[in-house]
Amino acid sequence: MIVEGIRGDAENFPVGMRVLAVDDDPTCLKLLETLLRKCHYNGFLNSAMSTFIVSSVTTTNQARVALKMIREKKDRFDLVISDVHMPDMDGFKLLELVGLEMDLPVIMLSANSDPKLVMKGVTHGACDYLVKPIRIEELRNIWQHVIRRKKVDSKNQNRSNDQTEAHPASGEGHGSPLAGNTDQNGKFNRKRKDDDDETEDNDNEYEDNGTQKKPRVVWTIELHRKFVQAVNQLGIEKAVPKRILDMMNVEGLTRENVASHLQAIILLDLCFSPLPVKIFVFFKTAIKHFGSLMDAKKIIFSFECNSCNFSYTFWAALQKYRLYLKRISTVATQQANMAAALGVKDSGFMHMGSLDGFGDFRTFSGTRLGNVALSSYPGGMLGRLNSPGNVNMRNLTPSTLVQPSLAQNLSSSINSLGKMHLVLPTSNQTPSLFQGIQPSLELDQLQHNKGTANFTSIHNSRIFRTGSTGAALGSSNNLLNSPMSNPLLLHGNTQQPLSGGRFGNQSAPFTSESFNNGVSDPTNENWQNRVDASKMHPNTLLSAEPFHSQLPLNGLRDNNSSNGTYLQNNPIDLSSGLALPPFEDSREMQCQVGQMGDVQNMAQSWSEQRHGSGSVNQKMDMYTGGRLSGGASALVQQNGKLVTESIPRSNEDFLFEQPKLPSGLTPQGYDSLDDLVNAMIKREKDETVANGEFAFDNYSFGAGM
Amino acid sequence: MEIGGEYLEILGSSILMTDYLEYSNALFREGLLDGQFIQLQMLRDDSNPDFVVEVVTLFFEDSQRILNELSKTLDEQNVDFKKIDANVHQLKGSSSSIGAQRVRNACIAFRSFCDAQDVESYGFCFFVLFPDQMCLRCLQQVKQEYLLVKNKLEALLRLEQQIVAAGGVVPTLNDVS
Repeated sequence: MIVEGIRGDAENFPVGMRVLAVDDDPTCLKLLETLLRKCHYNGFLNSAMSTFIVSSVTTTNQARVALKMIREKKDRFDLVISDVHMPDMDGFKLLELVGLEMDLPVIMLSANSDPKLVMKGVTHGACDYLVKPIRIEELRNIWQHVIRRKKVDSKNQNRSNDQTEAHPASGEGHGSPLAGNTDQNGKFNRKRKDDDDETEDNDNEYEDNGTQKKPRVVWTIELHRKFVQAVNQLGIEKAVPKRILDMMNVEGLTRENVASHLQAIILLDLCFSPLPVKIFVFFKTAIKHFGSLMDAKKIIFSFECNSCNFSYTFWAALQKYRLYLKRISTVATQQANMAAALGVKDSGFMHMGSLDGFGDFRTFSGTRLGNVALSSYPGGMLGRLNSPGNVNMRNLTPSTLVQPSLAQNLSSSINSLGKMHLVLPTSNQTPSLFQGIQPSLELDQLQHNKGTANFTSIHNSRIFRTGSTGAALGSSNNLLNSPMSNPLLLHGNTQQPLSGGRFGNQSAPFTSESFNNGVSDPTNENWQNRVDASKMHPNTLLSAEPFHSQLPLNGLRDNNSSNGTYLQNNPIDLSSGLALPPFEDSREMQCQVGQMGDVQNMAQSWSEQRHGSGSVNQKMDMYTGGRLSGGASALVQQNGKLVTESIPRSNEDFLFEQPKLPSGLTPQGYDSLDDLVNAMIKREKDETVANGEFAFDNYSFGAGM
Repeated sequence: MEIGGEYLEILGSSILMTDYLEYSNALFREGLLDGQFIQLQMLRDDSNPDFVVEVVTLFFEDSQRILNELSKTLDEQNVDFKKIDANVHQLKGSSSSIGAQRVRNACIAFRSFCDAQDVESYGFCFFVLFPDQMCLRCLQQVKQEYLLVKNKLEALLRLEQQIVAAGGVVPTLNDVS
């Protein structure tokens, strides 16, 4: 059976692989055969992904017979999958012979996962090594290894698009006739010989274990911005990887990169849209190992395979995602308008640090958007946690994807590129926002939280590195009453890494929740709640991830308006309610969150309004200097402490205010964070911070409590 | 009446389906089957409706053969541990492909004993002095697990047949593990 063409997408064309499967175990052989045949019928058709289409499967339980068949006709097979332990011939021997004589890709199969054997397979030239029991997604992934190897080979020989994209998914815009398949395969086979030395490396490059020898494309905000721009310009329907690539006009970027990125984004979107619990769980584990976009593909494939109760092709997912993009773009425009209306001076306002908040390229392959998506769909996701019922994705209307109250948050969506910003919903929406925000990334937590706002998990908090003001803890302020105050913005525009890793070990992300708390609920009551909440969720203020890498700030330093948002490294436990310092002009507290420059401004205004610079400085300390010995931790400790302690004085004080804080720091127009920090350091030196209560150890929030 | 008949049919198959789900869930819970079995179920489709039955049948036949082999080998004067290892390895592979988790685990345990014989790594006198005994024990364990899962699978597949005969659809399993 030869696959004639691809369903649905003219850009793709399948490469029908003729596979020879060898295994002495009849059960496994039967399973393998069926899996392979399944690859014929279920090939993903998507311009972004490779497709493993099997055109024929031949099976034998004897290695000698296999060898005979291979030798009979040189071009009879495109791929050999062989068991390692066979009675009549060792699998490795077969591998050698096949490799030597035929230069066919061979995949080893074994119930034994002993790494030594795996190495043996690799050194003998196996294309890959599968461990029984095999799953269909593994086969599909392997195919990518095989194809890529060929692709690399062919690339070396031929620069044309046809060649480089000659693997199934790549035929964008040009449909290489299937008939040419054999030729291509033959060519590939020959080329493979030439690049034998490289094959190992190539294989490793595409290992799904995340280790890569070649540098892979890192999707920085800039790059992502371009990506989004391209998508927007092309229009939702026409945004295919090839066109996106052309439009992006980035040197060194390949169509493959773009395709992968697109996939990853869609994948993340899928993750966080309402899904049955099972799928969600699957993604949870898969995403943890999201070492590369190859894994993303694996996830997507697995996703399809595991969709027991509904079929959700990638294509449909892509459509859905595009619809979502559409919707987001309208929301983003609205947000932009609002922002403009509120007189936000700096476009930085729109920055959403959240993307970088994840900061973990590995886990999300740099798809910040995904992170955003995370935050944006929390409700949906959470909602789904409790309803494991099967959902037919096709029936999901676009509206289910985006929670209305969170839609604004999603302006951070792709469309906004650097302008992503999360708009804080109005106070009455806070609860949902909280809930929504919660899922940040600890999917485990999500799973267990069942929708309850449990912010403890966010210590990695990639998403919310908002500068929640520590003051939020104590003060019942409604700092950011204005709808524009966007706690999420606090997150931190990822634009500028803090100078010199100032944030060093401070990984406590700004939690938007806390921000939220502060924002949404100015009353004392709230504050109480927050405090309670924080009691409930003591967090280490600074989690492992280097703060600086996650909190790049963009340059909102020029924003002199009083910024209500106080950036604070707060333990994720946002519920601890970081109350925002009460600014008289709450309106101005637009969130330049995450802007270090803003911090000083905020600090200034805060101190102006509050008791003085001391507390602000304290906060600044914490915020700015992970390395600063006393301040930050003190502040942190303070927070924690305050939280656990009586609330009383917080009303007046910023929670973080320390009576003993150096008070000499007057609000000044620090030109840069550096200046501020330097000043603080200096102050520190000058003063003794005799705060016995603050144990400056690890800034652990918990310790403070 | 016609309506009544249909209703009864639906009811009947519904009951069967519920039984099926409960039964299969119990199997998963007890570790007799794992996610791989679900994978098998998913491979079943219109073009391949008997896939699961076929594969499971193959598994039974092959396993029986291997178990017989193992018994024979262990009965010999000089036990050929390499042969035992190879057989157990194969059984491990096929049981894992089916999703027969406990059989697979028993095989793993079995193999570790065999390895011990070869490398004499065990410090336990009992093992060293009575390797055959240990292997026999292991074999027994494997056999037990195999027979257990065989019975259960057969019952499960029978239920499937009944469901289909009653006009119902075999529910897709979810991995409850």
